[in-house]
Amino acid sequence: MTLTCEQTLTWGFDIDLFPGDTALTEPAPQPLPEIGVRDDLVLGRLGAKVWGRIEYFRRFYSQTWGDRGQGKPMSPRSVQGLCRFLEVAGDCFSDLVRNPSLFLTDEGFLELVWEDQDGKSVQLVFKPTALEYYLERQQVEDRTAYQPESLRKLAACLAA
Amino acid sequence: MPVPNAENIVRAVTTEKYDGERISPSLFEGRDASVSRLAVVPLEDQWELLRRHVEKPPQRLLALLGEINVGTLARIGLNYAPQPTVLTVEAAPLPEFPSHGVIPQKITRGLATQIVRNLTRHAGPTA
Repeated sequence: MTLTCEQTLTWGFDIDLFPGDTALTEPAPQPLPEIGVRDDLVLGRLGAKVWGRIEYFRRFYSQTWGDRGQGKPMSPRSVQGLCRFLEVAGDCFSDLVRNPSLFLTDEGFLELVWEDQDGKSVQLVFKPTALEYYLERQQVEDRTAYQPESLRKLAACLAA
Repeated sequence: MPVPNAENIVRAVTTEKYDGERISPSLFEGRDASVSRLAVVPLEDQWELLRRHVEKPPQRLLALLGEINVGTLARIGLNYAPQPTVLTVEAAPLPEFPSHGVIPQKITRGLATQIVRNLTRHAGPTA
């Protein structure tokens, strides 16, 4: 089944649940890729395990969760950020990422984690307006905008 | 009240933070990470206690308990070269959670990665 972009945006998310999502007050971002495209991206570049985790979060983390109800639903803008990064990173990304894991932060953002060829941790957190990253090999914790050139630089850095 | 270095603590690892292989570093990132003291409630009783407090079936389930010694935690913080950090555990008992404690300091993603690596994982009876 192929869903439309609009359906993707309404996947059980209540937009009012994201009062701190500054992206909502900024110029409208590019529309989410159609779900088929997203599936292709995630399955093709990160594999079935990560795709399954997104489905799991979509299905079971669509309302607030956690012991004090502080956990936020999976942010559609975080999914959008992941897709943007995968688009820019290109096909070679799947060779770079080894058996990645996907987690959901308490803020509802996707967190992609794997180890590089030396066993050093690589971590990407897809926040609404920026991609935060931690590269253990370089001991760097930083963030970058979802601009194609910025994302390309980060992808090149990961491949180096 | 600071928890002595000799004590061990556990952190609940729930399903959004564990995929059957890795534990998310965000488990410890930030301030006021909640933990539970094994000196107050033994490991075998922690499962029932923590399930009551962190599970919200069907979505959020308790997958593992991650155990670490308080002294080891402090040593990891001080030895974290990019930003040596004093880490403590403060007792913070709650009415239905007497073993509750918190790590009050802000923990960076890099430091959280080191802490997660040093956890002893305990799988539950049904995990």
